Amino acid sequence: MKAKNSLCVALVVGMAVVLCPGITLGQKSKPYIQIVDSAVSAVHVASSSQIINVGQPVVIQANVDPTRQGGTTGTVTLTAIGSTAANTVASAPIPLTASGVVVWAPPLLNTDTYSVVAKYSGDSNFHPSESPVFTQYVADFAVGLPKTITIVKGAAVSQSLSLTSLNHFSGAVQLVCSGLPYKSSCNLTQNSLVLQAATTGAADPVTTAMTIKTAGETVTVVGSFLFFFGLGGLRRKRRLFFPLVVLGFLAFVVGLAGCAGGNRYMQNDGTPVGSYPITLVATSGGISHTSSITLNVVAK
Amino acid sequence: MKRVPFFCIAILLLFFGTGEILSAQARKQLGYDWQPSQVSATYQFTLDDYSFQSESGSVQRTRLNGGGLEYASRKLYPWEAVVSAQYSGGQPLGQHLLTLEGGAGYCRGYKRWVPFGRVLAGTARTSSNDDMYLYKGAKWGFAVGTSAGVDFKLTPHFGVRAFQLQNQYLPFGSQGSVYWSFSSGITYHFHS
Repeated sequence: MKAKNSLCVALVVGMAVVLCPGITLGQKSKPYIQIVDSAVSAVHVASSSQIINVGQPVVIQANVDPTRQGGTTGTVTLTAIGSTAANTVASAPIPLTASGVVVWAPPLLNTDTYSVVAKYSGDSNFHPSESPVFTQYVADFAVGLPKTITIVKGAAVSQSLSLTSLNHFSGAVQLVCSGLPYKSSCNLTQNSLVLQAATTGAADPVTTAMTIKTAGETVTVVGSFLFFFGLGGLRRKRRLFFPLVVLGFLAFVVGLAGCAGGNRYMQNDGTPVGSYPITLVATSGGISHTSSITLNVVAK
Repeated sequence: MKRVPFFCIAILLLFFGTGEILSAQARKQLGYDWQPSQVSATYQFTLDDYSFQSESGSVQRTRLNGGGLEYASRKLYPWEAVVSAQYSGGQPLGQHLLTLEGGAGYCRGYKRWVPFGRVLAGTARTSSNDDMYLYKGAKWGFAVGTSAGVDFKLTPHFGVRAFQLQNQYLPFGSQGSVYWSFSSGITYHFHS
């Protein structure tokens, strides 16, 4: 058996020498270097809602692609760049989760259009990368109204009031007027205005009328005292006349004592002349804008 | 205005009625004493039929304080010829009221007591610091006053007015105004 095996090995070696003349028996091959370069990565940004109202929270998420089995490492830095430099906010480097995701809740406190960009730091397996710009709108509305209204005592004046959608704001806005002086009123043609986001460019303002009324000096007849004059109709009823005269006399005494209730005339001086701060509050969801108007009531 | 004379008659009837009731019981004991002419100076408290509604919503009634001077000639006793001047002012509207009136009266003396009744007519002027009646300035008008009261003689020359209740109808306001007054003061009698 051993003799057979030895014969076979010799036969194979012999054939190899004949067929592969380069092979030198008894020598090692040269080392082969395989270089594996870092892969290209990509980052994508999205938010929980592309249009939020000012004051409303938002969550921005960055995803790094591709993900590697066993975990992608590295950090992502997100920056929300406002059109006004002061509004720009940036995150600290946030480590990627195992699934290649980063979540950031930026404090977008001011109305603006933010360009959000995510930068991936890369790791040993992936190159750094930067996301395309994601546009985040922080919407609001603006209230337009006069700073001062001058009105003659006893008169009414109507002023236009406007609301304008900013940064794709849409929704209903409630209006409340307060702080009016005595004997005056503030009425809005519409207490609620609906704003629509502009499809292109700036939104057109929506207007309504605000009417302020003041009261002038008035005298009204409000009742009647128990006067002797009221007995005139009893002239012919002589039997009743004298007792009623006595009754009237007693009523007179009671009236002098301050016990009589009725009055014939009531004077009201109306809205006092002066300067008053009127407050207009416009509210929509969590947004509330308080504007002040100076109301000047002047004498006739 | 048609009712004004009737009201005056009512006051007089009240006066006479009261007097007659008193005199019916004492007619036998009492004689009607002659009364001399007299002048009186009185303090006067007046209630208007006018109120003011303040900014707080409270209603403040106009109350006036003042005084009056009156001369009653009794040459035709028991009838009197009376002239009177009264002035008073008060709040809340800063009203000033002046009345100048003359007219007739009737009185009877029962020992020291002298009840009387009067009907006067004349002119009145009202003004205020707050456009009362919506008048921007002072306003004059025709006044009718009716009153009844009792004087009490302390000495032959001096006495007191125990009380005088007065109604004045003035033409102020859209329906005219009624002023009620209570007066009390001193009297001086002229003995010739």
